[in-house]
Amino acid sequence: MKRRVVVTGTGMITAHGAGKAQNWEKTKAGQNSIREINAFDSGKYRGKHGGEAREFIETSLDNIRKTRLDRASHLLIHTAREALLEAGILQDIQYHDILVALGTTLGGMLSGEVFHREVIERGPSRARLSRVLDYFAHYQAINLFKEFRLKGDFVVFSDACASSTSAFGYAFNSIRSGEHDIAICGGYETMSEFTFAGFNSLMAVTPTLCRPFDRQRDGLVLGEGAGILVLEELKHAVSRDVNILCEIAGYGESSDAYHMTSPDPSGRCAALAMTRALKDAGCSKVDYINAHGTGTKYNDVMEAKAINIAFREVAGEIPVSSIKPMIGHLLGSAGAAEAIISILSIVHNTLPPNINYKTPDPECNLNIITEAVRCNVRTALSNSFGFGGSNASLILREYPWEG
Amino acid sequence: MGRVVLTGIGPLTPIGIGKVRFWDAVDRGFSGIKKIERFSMPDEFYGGEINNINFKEYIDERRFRRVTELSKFTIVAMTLALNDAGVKTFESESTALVAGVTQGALNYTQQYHRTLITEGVDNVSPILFSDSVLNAHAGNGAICFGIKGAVHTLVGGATISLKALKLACRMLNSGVIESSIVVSAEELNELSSFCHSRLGMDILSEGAGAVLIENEDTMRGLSPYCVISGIASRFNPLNPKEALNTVIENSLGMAELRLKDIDFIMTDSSADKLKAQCLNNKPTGGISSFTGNAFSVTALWHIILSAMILKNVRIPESFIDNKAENHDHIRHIMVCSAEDAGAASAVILSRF
Repeated sequence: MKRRVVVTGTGMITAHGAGKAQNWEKTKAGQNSIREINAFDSGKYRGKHGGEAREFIETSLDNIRKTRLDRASHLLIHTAREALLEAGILQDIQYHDILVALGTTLGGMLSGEVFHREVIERGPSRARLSRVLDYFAHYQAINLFKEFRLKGDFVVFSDACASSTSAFGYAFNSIRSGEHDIAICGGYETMSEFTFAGFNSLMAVTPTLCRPFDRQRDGLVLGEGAGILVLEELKHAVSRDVNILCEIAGYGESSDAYHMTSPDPSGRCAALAMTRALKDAGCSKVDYINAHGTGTKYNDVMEAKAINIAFREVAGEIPVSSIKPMIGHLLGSAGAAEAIISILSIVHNTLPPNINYKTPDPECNLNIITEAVRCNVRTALSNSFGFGGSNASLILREYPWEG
Repeated sequence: MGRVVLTGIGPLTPIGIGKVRFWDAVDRGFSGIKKIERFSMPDEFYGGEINNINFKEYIDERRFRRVTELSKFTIVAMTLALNDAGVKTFESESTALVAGVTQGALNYTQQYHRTLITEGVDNVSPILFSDSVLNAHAGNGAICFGIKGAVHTLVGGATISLKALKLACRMLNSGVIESSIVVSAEELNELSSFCHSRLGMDILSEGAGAVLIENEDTMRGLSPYCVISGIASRFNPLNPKEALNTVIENSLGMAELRLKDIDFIMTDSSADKLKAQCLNNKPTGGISSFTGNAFSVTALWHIILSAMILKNVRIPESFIDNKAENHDHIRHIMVCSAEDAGAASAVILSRF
């Protein structure tokens, strides 16, 4: 029999601010935290706005030097500290054997940008090599180990926008199989001009508002931030007498094998990830779907089709919302941030709204909720889809679960 | 649930493309290190470059004409592995692809970013951007072969392709999939080479490696090379020796073997002192001195070579660092990778 896995800690930084309490209050209230970009001159771009984590400058560090440390590492370490504190293991984490499973698309790209710029301006022999290490997408995980004096193992997924959901699934399965008892999982992403320009060149960024599932939608808005969760084997958590936020019920994944940047319009492969998660969880319906909901024309139609394939006749009954219009698309960390919001929806029996939704799209025939809804939320599904066709779905349920 | 078996190999290396040429080059002790021709450096620069390949032999050039070298290497290695296994078709939803990578598509990344900085956003190519993302080669590989099970890209150092293999084995053991391709690829890049040169580090190389692994009960591969009998990974930056000792112990435990049962150890050139301490001077060998350091790919080349040794029941003398006393009864090979930073992975391959 598979072991049960629960969530005992969460940490979050987004455009809403640092800390999960602030994030939940603003998400529940439907606050739009998208602003004009500060980090670089966005005036020349089609879309000029983004969800920067403006309040966050840097984290406090005990065991590593902060000079040369990329913002990605700061975001990761700060949110991990919040999650470990909530899980009640911050003080003795070094005595546990820990799995770290993270997701990111471009890791320390801000360091990469500085290095590339120095190569162009000063020549390769005078560009600072100190910038190179943190550029690597796995180096933030190494910094996390050093700061908290961890031992165990780590794995970093780069599955585009499904990265942190893949990492979550990996951690979930590692604990279920008995390989580990505790895992730190999630993702992080910074706002870099490299990425911003790339999505603009793809004409994927909205010049107006991000409006997932709305007929007038015209693109996504990028964001930055991090979401970290502490996963634990149930008996291990109970023996520590720690507060359990929810149980992880199921995980499913698939790939489109269709196109590098466009989803398979049939939605069949995305539906496969959902049906695999449902089968894994042993259920056929959920109380809430936190959609990938990017606000791009093709993603949202595909996701609506996929939900209809996976849930058949009950698809139209399930409340659906995307939080991306409020905080932006966090790319590699989107799945983790959205999983945390899904958990808080269960904990508080409240569903967050899909803001900016005005005009229904017949091609997106879902039960989109535009206001926060108080209701009994026992199960939630969180979807993530990425470039290259990666699909990952996660099912969370209340704890204790009484069937 | 059956054992996990390795049924196809696809080496794309600076010393040979395809298993026959690769084995022959290793057997002859042929070195693929030569002066790099792809880019000009202030000083002469040597490395393991792939420059004798006709992609048209392997790739639908029209469909994938604009993809990075990294993606092309990936598709070629996957083609070689599937052809080697004799697998023409597979159940797409129960086949996975797990890729390991260290640097990614640095040439496109650099080109795209240079254009952005020097010419502005209006001149950047969306294709360069989308192919710069770290999972682009895995995405292109999945698209090329229609793989719909699960497609993952793991990023890390020298140990990452062994972690990729570990993830694929776990998916097979869980029954979610029936087969998986594990692939790793790297491409030479001017800036990366320059950085390594400044730091006086290893000679770099490029290429790819792919293996097809399957559940023994449902395998389609015609003739398995070996069984993956043990696999472990660990990270301990405060005590790298503990990490390496633990992966050795755990992989042996999983295979129900002891270190004395291991006939040969295949390892890369990093953390040499550490490995000497932990491996009790067992017979070891590695191909980095012939191929150069291809980051994530080197360990996969070692997996491929180990699979061939187990099938051919012969260790090419040229690359054995510490001569094995008896080469005729090779039953178990450990492929080990460790980094001074504290990462370690080990895989045990056993004769089928």
